Amino acid sequence: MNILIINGTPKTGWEEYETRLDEAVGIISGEHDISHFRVRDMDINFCTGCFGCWTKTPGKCIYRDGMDEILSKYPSSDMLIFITPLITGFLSALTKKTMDRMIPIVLPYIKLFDGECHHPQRYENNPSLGLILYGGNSMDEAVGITFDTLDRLSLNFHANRTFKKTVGPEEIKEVLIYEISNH
Amino acid sequence: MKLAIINGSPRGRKSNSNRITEWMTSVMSENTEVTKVFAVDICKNSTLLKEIQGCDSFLVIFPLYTDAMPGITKELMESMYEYKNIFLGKQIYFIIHSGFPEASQSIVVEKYTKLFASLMGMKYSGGIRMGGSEALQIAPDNYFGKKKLVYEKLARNIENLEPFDYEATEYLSRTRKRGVIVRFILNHMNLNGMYWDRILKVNGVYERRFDRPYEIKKKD
Ligand SMILES: Cc1cc2nc3c(=O)[nH]c(=O)nc-3n(C[C@H](O)[C@H](O)[C@H](O)COP(=O)(O)O)c2cc1C
Repeated sequence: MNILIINGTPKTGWEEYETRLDEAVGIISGEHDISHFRVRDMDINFCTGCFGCWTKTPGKCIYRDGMDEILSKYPSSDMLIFITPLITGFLSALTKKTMDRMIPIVLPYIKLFDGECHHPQRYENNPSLGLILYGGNSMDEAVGITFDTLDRLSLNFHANRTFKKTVGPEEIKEVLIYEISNH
Repeated sequence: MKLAIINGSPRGRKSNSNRITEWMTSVMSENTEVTKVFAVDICKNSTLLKEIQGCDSFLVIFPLYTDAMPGITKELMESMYEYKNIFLGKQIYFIIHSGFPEASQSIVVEKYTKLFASLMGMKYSGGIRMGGSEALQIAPDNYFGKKKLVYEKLARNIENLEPFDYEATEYLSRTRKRGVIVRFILNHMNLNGMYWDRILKVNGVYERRFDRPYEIKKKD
C-alpha cells in the first residue's frame, strides 16, 4: 500500500513522539511504501488565496516549493495521514498550511454532494484520510473539534474512509499498524 | 474606545475580509480608535502584535480554508497565544466567512474560536459565520445591501463594548434554504462553471482545466 504521511509537528517539545514515529515508520516500510514528510524541515509557503492552481496552472500551485513533492505522491496514495500535536487546542499551523495547499487536488467547479456544496475531485483516486494527534485525551473538547474538522475535510477531499486517534508515544507503532492493516 | 482588527486572510489588504471590516469601520465614530493588523505581516514579524497592546476589544476575521482557519491565521493565533498578556481579560469577536454558500460549513471552526477565546483568557463576545463571501470579489456594495447594514449594526455593538446583537448574528449566520430552482441551477445549469471557465479561457488554459499534473503516466 502507498501511504502518505504529512507530519506537522513543530521542532521542539515532541522528541519522544518523533523518535517513536521514526521507529514505527521504519518497521512498516518493510511492507508498505511510506512517504513521510516533516513539514518543519521543508520549504512550504502559505497559500496566498490567488486560485492560480485552478485558473492559471490547473492542478498545480503557481509557486514551486516543497508542496510539489507532497502532491506528487497524492494520486497514487491509498492513505493520507496527518500527524500533529494539538497546538493552542487545534491542528498546528504547519499542518494547516499544508492542508490549504492541497486544493489543487479538487476542481474549481461547485457541485451539490448530499445537498451541500463541494468541489469535484481532480484525480480518480482519493486516499482515505487519517489523523493522529500526539498527546491529548479523546474526551477533550479540543480533540473533538479537531476530529470533527477532519470529518469535514473528508467531504471536501472525497475520502471514503477516515480514522482519528490520539496517541501517547508508546502507542504510535500499534495505532499505525492497526489502521494500515484495517484499511 | 480602542479596537484592534486582526485580519487573518492570506490576501491581506486585498481580501474580502478587509472589505467586510471596512463596512464596519466606515460607520464608527471618531472616538473609536481602530488599529488594523494583518496575518500576512505578523507571520513575518510577530512583534507587530505589540501595536495592538492597550486595545479594549479585538475583532478577528478570517475566511474558511479547507474547513477551518487558513494556515496563516493559525500561525497568527499561535503568535497571539505567545503574547497572551496583551489579550488577557479583553473582549474578542470573530467573523468567519466562507466561499461556499452554506454558513453551516463553518460551525466546527466557530466552536474552535470559542475554545481559543477561553484558552486566551478572553471574553468571547460574539461570532458571525457567513456563507458566499467570494462574491465580494466581483459584486458591488449594493448587492450586499441588507448584509452591509447588519454589519454596521455589529460595528455599533463593538463600539458600545456589548456582545453582537442576537438577531444580527442569526441573520448573517443562517444557512439559507435552497429552493427547487436554485438546486436545479446548481445541479444542471453550471452557472458557477461558467464563471471559472471564463477565467480559464482568459488565461488561455481552458483546455487544460482537468489536468492531473501529479499523476504518473502509465507506460503503454
Ligand atoms: C486554499 C483555499 C481553501 C478554501 N477552502 C474553503 C472551504 O473549505 N470552504 C469554503 O466555503 N470556502 C473555502 N475557500 C474560499 C474562501 O473562504 C473564500 O474565497 C473567501 O471569500 C476568501 O476571503 P478573503 O478574501 O478574505 O481571504 C477556500 C479558499 C482557498 C484559497
